[in-house]
Amino acid sequence: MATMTDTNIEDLELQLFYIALKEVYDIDLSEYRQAYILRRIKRRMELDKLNTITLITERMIHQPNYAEKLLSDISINVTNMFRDPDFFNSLIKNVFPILQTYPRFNIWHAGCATGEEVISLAILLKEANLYNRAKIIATDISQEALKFAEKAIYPIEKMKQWTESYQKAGGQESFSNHYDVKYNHAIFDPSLLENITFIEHNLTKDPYFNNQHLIICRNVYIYFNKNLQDYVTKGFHTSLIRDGYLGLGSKETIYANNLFEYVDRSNKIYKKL
Amino acid sequence: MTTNKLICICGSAGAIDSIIKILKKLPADFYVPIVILIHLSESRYSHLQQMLAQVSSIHTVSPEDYDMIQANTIYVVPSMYHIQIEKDFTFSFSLDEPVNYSRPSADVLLETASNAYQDGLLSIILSGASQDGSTGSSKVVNSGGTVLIIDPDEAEVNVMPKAAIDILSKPHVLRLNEIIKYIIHFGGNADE
Repeated sequence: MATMTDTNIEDLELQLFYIALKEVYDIDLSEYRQAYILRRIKRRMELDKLNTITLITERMIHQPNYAEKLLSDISINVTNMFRDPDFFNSLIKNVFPILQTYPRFNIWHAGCATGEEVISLAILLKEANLYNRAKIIATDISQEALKFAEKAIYPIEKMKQWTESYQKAGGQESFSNHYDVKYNHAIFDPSLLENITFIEHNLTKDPYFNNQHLIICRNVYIYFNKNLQDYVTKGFHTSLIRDGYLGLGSKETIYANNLFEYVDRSNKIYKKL
Repeated sequence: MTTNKLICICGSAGAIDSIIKILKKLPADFYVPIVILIHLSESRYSHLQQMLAQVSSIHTVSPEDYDMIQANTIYVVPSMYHIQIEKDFTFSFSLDEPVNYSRPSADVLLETASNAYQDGLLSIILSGASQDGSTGSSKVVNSGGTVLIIDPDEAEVNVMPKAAIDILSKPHVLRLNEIIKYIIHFGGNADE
């Protein structure tokens, strides 16, 4: 019998885990990059005192709620307002003047998590007198995160850091004009939510919302392999109008050729070709 | 060219002087790639990267997503994201919550690097103010790799080396000049 190294055994177990997850729950993680998924599975193994990935797979198949627990381990819902202020500043400089030329425009924020970045965008659009022309779709795979996003209520402790980021991003007013404080929380101006529709959506299955002028999808690609990145990139390309814009996270790059050109290379803002 | 060996050097407060001393001793043709992770604020990171590039005679870069880890290269880990090493010897990034109050976290780097390089991994724990790197060190050892820890007496801040010493059953605690000798012996030439 051929002997397997521990690494090979772990790879086999991981493949079986992916197959089971797909068969039982119709969720395909096989095109995600592996290191992150493995870290999360191993953390779950430690918490539940299970020695092998196979035991995780076994539980997942036989216990209906276990997969949900695993998926919540894997999904990332931590974010900040105006994360990478330079990115938002570049949107104001490079993309807002184009949006200005349309009487109405559509924006799709893919992977909005708990909503901080889409609210950031809404604030900047409002200050540029563009918000009332915008129709914004904010999507995420996690219903739990979306429920949080729809409220636009965040802990007051965050406001110091977010105020700094807001100013760096090019905010025009006092940041506190955009929220009320109650019970140690910042409750953001409900009018910022008026033109935002939150939708539960799996980007990896169906990366299409048509006629978008701008798509923002930040720090989602880092979890996908190149193949899945390309699939989503093509979906974004189809979803954008001619001359539409795409904004990615600071560590992300488009590998597919001939679909996009850089508008701002260091801030990862692209224009559809 | 990829290699089956990797060196990871981790630290935070007080580690930069040691890293400069290490880099100054390494020849321009030093073969095994080195990943340097220091906990730093975002604003100080670009300064660090430039400084290490000046000090080192080896090609020094900031890793990008999907970069293949190459021989004769030093990678200085950027701030804000966790950095991971995939089994195909490429870098990947993640924005999950800080580990040990740190992002990037040495635990995350060492756990994933040990999965990829197994017994080809050498990791060095230098001066630092958090326990980050200790859990990762035990994973390195369990995968057959080697962990060297700076003598806490020689570390400007000894929390990080002490935490790594506490977690390992047979910790290798060395003075900085011994660590440098070990690194040169480990990584000076092409893989056997």
